[in-house]
Amino acid sequence: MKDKLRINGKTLFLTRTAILSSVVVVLSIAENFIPTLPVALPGMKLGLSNIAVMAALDICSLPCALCVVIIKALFALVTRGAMAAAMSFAGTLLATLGMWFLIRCSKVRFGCLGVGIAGAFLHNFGQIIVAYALISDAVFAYMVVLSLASLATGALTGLVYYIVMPHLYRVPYMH
Amino acid sequence: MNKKSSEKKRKYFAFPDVFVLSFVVIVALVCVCMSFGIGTDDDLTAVVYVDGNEYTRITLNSVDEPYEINVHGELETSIRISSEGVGFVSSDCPDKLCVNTGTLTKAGESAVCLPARVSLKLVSTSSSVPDAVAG
Repeated sequence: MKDKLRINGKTLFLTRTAILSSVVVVLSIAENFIPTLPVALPGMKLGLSNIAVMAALDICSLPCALCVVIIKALFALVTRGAMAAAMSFAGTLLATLGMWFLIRCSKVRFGCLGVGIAGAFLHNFGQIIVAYALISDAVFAYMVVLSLASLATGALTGLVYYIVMPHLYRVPYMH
Repeated sequence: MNKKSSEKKRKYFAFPDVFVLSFVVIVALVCVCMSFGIGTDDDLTAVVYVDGNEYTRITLNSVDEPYEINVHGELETSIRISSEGVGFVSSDCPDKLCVNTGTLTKAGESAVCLPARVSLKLVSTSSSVPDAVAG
């Protein structure tokens, strides 16, 4: 790390995005292996991929995170179909923009907890909006459950990112 | 690339997180209120089935005064209809499960009097969810 090679900015961007995208894809596969709790409603997920998006925003940039989001949506399109892709894309895009706002645009520094919860909440919110547009059912009751659930899942993803973050910073060329 | 983020380690909990937390809780509370509001204001339609066939269909918004209708299935039942909801008020069946179900006020709720072969269901007119699933 001391004698950093000069690497083209585009190459760095490409490599970082590729690494983080692969992390996102692996996390969303791993998430499917976790058995859902009996109380969980459909759509209630841990949102592990938010961790990678958070890392992309924190150590790279917004364009990098947006590329990660698009690749995640494409992955969902290939493996789970158009409906899942639309919901994944809307949720992750909203979460990314919200977390970007909290990480970059503000004078105050939010902690991992706040960023994680905001990400989880906005993810659910985006999915609800798509569900409302596609199914047009009464979704407000569902929103209550999902926003309360996002408090728990967001706290967890924030904690994971808090633990992983120092190790990420140690990787050369990652930030 | 970004000096700011690498210089200082992000804390797990910082004070501004309180705003995020309270925002989410407020949204949850608002949604609780809205879902209660929707439960009564929605375009609800009561559907009465006798022996599995649709007997009558009443739009609750058009009901001004509460009234009761008598439905003859295998046994005699009577159903009270008001703009707030519908429910069995009496039945000649022995167990009175249908009466004990109380008043239905939300879309998707149903009450059944099995001995009389009469069932009552609330559906939302604006909803596209098929009502054949519960039948």
